[in-house]
Amino acid sequence: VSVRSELVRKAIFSKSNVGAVVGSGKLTAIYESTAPEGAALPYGIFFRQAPEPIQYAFGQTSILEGDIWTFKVLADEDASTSKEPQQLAEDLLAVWISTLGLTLTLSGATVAWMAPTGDMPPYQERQNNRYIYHRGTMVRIRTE
Amino acid sequence: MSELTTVFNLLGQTVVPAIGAAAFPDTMTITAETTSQGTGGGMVKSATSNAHTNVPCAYKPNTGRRVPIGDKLVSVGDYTVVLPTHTAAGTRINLDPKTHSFVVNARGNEPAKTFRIEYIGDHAGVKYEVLCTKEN
Repeated sequence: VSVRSELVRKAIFSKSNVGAVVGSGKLTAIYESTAPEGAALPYGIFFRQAPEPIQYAFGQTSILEGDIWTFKVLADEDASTSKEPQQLAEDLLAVWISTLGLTLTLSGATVAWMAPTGDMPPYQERQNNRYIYHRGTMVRIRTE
Repeated sequence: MSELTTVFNLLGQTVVPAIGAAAFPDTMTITAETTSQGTGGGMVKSATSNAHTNVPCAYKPNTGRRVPIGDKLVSVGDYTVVLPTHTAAGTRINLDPKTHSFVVNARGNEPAKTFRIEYIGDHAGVKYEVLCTKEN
């Protein structure tokens, strides 16, 4: 349910917003759902893509809750003078997913399963005289 | 050669460039981007150089809007930038929307401003009226 997902959201940001992922030559920042005006590319966006059905034990006791989360990196042709923006976004995304790992530290719950489940279809959008490339991976996170 | 041809050539290639500094309130640098294809098929903007410097110009706003781009809101303004077709030395300014951008020089308290070219309007070789966007 949303309360549990909110715990996961905060744990994701806490584990993502570290020097291995954010900094000079890396992502400029990580945001949930949307970036603020003026945010500089390349940056990371994550959001709750879809909930999974809650699994119950006997009766109405929830034993497993889960969501699919999307993690994506946005980069444009001005973000690097040596890498294609597609490659830059993929490289930064790989570091981010690797840093997230296969578990999170939650307060009041435990991660039972966390692993990438597939990639987001890549796409790009035009901004004036350049394109912004979106590259992402979806991760299934189940908690108990 | 018709009389008009002579007049327009004189205007575009001699008169406007000669009065450029007095007729336009600003000067700008026309920057050029160098782009090459990377090993994965994408494009890499490897460098930016100056194609022309101290080009007389004037700019005015047309309209603007705030649009969602890249999962964030961006305030974008449409501007018209007017500039001569020739430098004071008589060299034609060959504008290329694929690679060129305008950086209007700072003036007094006014900071430098970057304009990205959308479309180049050429007034019979006398002056350019270039539709640009400026990200605020």
